[in-house]
Amino acid sequence: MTAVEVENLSMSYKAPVRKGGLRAAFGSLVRREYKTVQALDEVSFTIAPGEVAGFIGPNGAGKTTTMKILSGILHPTSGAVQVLGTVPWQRRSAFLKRIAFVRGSQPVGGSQELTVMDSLEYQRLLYDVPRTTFRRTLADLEALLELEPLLERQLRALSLGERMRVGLAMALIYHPEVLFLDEPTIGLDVTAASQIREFVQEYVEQTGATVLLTSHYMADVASLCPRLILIDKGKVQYDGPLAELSARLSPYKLIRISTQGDPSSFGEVVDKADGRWVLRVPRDEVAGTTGRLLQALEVVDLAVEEPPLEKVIDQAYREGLR
Amino acid sequence: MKLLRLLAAGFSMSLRRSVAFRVNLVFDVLLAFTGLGTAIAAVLIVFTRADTLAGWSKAEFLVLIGTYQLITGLRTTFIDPNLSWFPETGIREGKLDGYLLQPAPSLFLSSLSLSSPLQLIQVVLGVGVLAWGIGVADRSPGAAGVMSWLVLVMAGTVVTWALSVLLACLAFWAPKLQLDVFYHSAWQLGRYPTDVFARPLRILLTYVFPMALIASVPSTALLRGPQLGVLLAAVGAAAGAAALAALAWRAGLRRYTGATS
Repeated sequence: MTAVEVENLSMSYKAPVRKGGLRAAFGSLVRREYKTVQALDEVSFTIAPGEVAGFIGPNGAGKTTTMKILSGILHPTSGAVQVLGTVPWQRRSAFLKRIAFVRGSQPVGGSQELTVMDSLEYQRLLYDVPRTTFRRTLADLEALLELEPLLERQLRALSLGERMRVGLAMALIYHPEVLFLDEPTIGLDVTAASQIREFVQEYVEQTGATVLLTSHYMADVASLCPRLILIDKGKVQYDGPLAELSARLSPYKLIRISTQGDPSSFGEVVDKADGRWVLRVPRDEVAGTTGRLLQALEVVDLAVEEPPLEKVIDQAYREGLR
Repeated sequence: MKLLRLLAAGFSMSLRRSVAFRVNLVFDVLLAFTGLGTAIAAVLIVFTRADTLAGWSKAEFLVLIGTYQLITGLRTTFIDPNLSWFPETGIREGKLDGYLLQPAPSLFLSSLSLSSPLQLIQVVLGVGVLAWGIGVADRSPGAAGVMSWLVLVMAGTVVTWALSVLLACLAFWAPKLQLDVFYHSAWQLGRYPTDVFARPLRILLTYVFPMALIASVPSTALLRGPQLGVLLAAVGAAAGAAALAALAWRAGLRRYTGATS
């Protein structure tokens, strides 16, 4: 049993193209040229129930398109998709009640003049949530998302962080089993972003929901997703644990060392300041180098670190995976 | 059943929203009065010089204007808030994406879930003018006339809805095309009886873009008695138009590639 099953999913569409300038513009009136944009190219992956997977890739890689297909908004060009055992774009009510798609770029749709409570009530009606369940869930969400002061406010008067909290509340009020979160922390300050992360974590622990999450903030991915799916130019480039990805991308580790001596002969010096050094050492030599360092020098402090995930991912986006 | 409840909830929410703007309320009332007032004034002026116009008496004209106003009111209350400027608001701003995620028919959500209750003023005014027209008519309408008027008004409203949906569906094929202005201008022709127009225009407005029928046909039925053929044709046209709209919508959604990233 899988929660999400994607097989050879492809999506392409035609976009009109023309060269710059007036001449080309008039020319395109007579003869229009199209370029086929391959948004997704034979994408396959599965997600087990209760799994939290991070879906990463550069802008335009096809993340949002995949999510839109998985949540039934778009019809793909080809390929097979099953979410909770159904084909999403048939858009059966029973299916739509079991999933949620929350977008950081527009967390709450609908009339912006309405109050948060009005909007939640409308969700209750739309998703046929029984009143007692609704009240119980709302009480839980109020506590987890600190909604109480927001309930009587109009949607349009909310700050970005508040909108995201409300957006999550609107989506979770009907207890979806599969959550598609598209950049849930985009534009949020550090506190608001970590609040959202903690909330998602708690929701997953409490309900066992399946989550597919995209984000450009590696902090989101690192703290929430044991598994990463990296997509680029419409293709899956990597699918597996986060640690493995960084090992594969970066054959080095960093040794952070405080010493009065000069450790520069033990590895490549990345950084040094007042007796604190950062050395870059090949992964498989870390143990040996550490041992030799401790023997040769008077070491005050030593720590071995993975290279920052941001750097690793940046390298993956630029150079691809080898 | 659920759709009715959603419709009621949407209406109630829109009402809550619109009473928040008191100035708007005043202006909407004023606008409705001026629009209707000028239409009636024109007719009254014409009828100081003539007893009939293209075979229509003053009473019949008033009934026509009242009916037209009533259907216009229904349109601006229930349909326009959803579908006007659909390429912009529905697709480019991503409202459609939201509707597609919700567990209710997307066509219903996109075309009927919002309303602007204040526009119901137009319906009230329409009924007023209608009553005035019936009052000054030579003979009052029979029960059959009233019944068929009701059926025809409903059919007209359904056709109006279907036309708006079809117009919105164009956005799936030609996203830059916004024919709302054209539609609203053509709509203005509905306040005149079909007999006023020259033959080619009359044929166009009857069969191709049935604007002229929307108020003319029910008004004729009310005052001159019902015709079974017309009734059947109207119900058939309403059903056909609605089916066509639903089909176009489905076909459009299959083509939909989204506009937001």
